[in-house]
Amino acid sequence: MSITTENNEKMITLMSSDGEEFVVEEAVAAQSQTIKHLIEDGCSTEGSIPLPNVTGRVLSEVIQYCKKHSSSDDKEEKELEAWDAEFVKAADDHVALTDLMMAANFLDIKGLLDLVAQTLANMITGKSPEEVRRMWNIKNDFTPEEAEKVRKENQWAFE
Amino acid sequence: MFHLKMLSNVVKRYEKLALKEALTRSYHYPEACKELSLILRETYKNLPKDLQSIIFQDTLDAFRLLPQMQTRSAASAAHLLLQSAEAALPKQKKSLAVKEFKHAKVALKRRSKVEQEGEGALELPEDILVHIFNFLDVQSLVYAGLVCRSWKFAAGSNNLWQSQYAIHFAMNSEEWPIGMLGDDNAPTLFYVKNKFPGKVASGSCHFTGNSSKSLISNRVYCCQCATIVWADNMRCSNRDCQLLSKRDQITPVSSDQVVEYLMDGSLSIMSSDSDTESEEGLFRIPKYSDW
Repeated sequence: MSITTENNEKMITLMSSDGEEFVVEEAVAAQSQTIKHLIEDGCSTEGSIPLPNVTGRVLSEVIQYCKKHSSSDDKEEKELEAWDAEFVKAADDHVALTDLMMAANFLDIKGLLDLVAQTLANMITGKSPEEVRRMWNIKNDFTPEEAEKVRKENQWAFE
Repeated sequence: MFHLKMLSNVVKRYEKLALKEALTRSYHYPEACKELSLILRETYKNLPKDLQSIIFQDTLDAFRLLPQMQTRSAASAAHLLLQSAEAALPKQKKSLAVKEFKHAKVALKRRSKVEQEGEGALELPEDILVHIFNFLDVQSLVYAGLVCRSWKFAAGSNNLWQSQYAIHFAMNSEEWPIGMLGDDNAPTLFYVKNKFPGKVASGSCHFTGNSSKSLISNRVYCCQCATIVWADNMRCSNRDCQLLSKRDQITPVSSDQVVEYLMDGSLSIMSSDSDTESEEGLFRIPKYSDW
């Protein structure tokens, strides 16, 4: 449903997969290319925009990011950078970060996608495969023969 | 005898090394520890008092941060730092450092126990993995490919290796050898991987090392910034510089060279296998005459 506030800013209602509704300014929602296209196609005029891939918890974080980034201009770049750093820090662990990343991917928010990808990459950098598996609870599904083959192929990188 | 100017120079250079900040980043922690321990071992006793106390504080910080690091390389780097601290620090400071280290070890053990009970498995679609891997350096990318099957598939993506190739060999896409731009993953990967180890030192590019070590160097000298900086996948990590700096303005340096730089502001790089004079001119830092 699109309603208009006193200062003439068009409002958009977003609905998360678990039915939570968020009313945000159009400029904030349009940080997401996916939503922007939906608005342009006139999908926002009736009722709320359903986002079946994003839970309320994650969506509220995404909106927080979009609000900040739609209200800041380029002059505040340094401050925005510091805010971004705090933002990913608050997400805390890699599970929350990957949820955020999936949402940013689906909603097509480039800045957020890159921010989270960089954060996750920093968590992988400098860790051995075993340490990455342990940290992210990933099962090693190589057979012993495969593992040996892969190791040989990549010998050059370990010297 | 120290002149005041010299003192401020060495303190300034130490600050520029940005060890304190590097210690907070898990991927730079081991190298920062290594540099700190080399500095302790080789020069601590000759340094001015105020710098000694900064270095001592950084050493304590390193131990305090250890529990947050989850790698074996971090733990062994901290061990090395402890040994250097024991060798170089005076009695009172030594005992403080040892105490801090013991605390850190206990906290580290407790932490890893909790984490082993960890959360659910992580499964990410391939395009997301590729996006994350975009931000990795070449060695971490290879390691990521060894984690499991789906990661191996994502880490073998053509685009990732093309950009690694571009970063390390400073070429634009038009100059890529024939056969490199094929749709099939395998040829590119094979080509790039083969290109990396042997050719690195051969003069066609600007690496100084003689092994793939230079590929994973976290420390580089940036001509643009005229100082040693932390590298961000073979780029200067200084934000204002990144737009300007090119691959050939950056050269990897070892921990020993970092200590050397701290002491006299000079860097004897490009001496081993560089064969062009222009390179030498490019990377030579003027020796400070007053130091």
